[in-house]
Amino acid sequence: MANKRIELEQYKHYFDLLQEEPNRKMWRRGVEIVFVVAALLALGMFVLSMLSGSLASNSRNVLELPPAKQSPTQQGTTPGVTPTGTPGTEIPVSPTQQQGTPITPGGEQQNTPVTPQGSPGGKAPSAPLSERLSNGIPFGAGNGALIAQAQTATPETKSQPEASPPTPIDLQQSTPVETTSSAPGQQSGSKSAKSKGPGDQTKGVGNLANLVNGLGGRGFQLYLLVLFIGLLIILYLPVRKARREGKSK
Amino acid sequence: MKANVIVFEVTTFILFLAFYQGAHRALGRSRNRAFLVGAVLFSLAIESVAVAGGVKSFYWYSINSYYKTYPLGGYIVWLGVVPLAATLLWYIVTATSYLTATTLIPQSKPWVRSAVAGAVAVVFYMLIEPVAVTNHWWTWNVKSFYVIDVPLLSLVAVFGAVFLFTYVFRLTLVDMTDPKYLKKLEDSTLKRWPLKSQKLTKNLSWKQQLEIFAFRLFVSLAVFAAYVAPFVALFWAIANRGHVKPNW
Repeated sequence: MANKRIELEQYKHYFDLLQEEPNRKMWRRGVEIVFVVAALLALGMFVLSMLSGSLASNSRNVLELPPAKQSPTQQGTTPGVTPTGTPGTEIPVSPTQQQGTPITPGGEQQNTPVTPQGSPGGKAPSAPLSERLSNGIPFGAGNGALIAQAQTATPETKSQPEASPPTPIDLQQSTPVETTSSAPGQQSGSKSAKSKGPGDQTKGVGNLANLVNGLGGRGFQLYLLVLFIGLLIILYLPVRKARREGKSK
Repeated sequence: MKANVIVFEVTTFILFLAFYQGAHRALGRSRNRAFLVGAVLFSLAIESVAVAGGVKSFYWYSINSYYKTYPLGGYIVWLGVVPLAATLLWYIVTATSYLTATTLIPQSKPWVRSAVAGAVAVVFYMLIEPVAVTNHWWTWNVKSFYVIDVPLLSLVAVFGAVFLFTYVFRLTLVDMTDPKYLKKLEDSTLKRWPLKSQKLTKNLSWKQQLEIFAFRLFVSLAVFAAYVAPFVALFWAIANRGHVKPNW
């Protein structure tokens, strides 16, 4: 009796085994919930990735800086710019944020023109990635101050008229894939990168856009579909096993 | 359409609430709580090092005027430099992988179960990563070998992290065993001072077992670093994308 009492005294320090080893019925219920939620997670990712297909088709989107939001005043004035932006493209730069250039009292931009070839199917924040890097602009730095700093260093920019009207930014996503070879600035960047090692953009198998646009534009979708179905099968097997165990008892 | 970071975060939180209810039935309440806390801290440690080393970034939405729309880097809840949603996602994936392995092959060796769990987690992340990098939920920036803009290193790391975590969890809180290779280390460190007990793990109280679990997770972080290091070097050597000079 005394031993039993000591044993019970000791046992109270342990965690509740009934709670920690739930009965099989409760365990089966738990397993079902877990795998249904995991399947929902997989489904959610599958749906989101399908919806993001257009973004993925732009190879530079992965490492591109986020664009500044367009202000309501610019939305109606800038020609050729859709306010909402097409899939795979970004909202153009606002006058208050764009490249740190001053703004006239009337709100008109005094802006370095952005060439449409600079980012076909790409984003609004003007210069391509390697061009920004070659200009000595830190990758994640804010657009305004740093571009202004770069402009003072280059004579070409100085020679441009201050009050030149902004060039419309081409936001149309004509061809989905544009790799480093598309932008002139990036060409020089990739040449210099070749001598030093891999560039700042993925190529070949490393490039998501290649998969997106492969197999007649269905490559990414097929990849996701195969993975999604594989995951569903993996998640279904334990549920089936748990249910069989329940039925056999 | 753009599935921005808030979509990801809210979805993860909702799924987590439902998942937790199921996991505490399947694992047991205390074990599930330990699994959750352990998984969050374990992944937090790894991801924090990755962010500090410039390998990974969660701040894309905090740059430029996006900050006005998405303050706090887009994410609402942060644990230091890592969003809570990222660690909860890791918990969901790891617990699912662990339960898959233990349900499908309950009689196999612990390391085999853990390896299966790691493989299932890799499949999960193969689905998640392309969506994440496309929508800038997080951004990889390391000189490495990339496949569809996801560094292979990340998948290797997911396998290793899930393998180690599930192995330690099973070893400590389910089987309650003391392997020889750990016994010497634990006897001379943890059991000497904080625990002041040389008992076997199965004879310790739940609280003490949790301390053992925390200690083993800490050791497994060192093992993880040793495991990842050769892969970092290997993928560095065959890299197809360089390290873009980051400032985020």
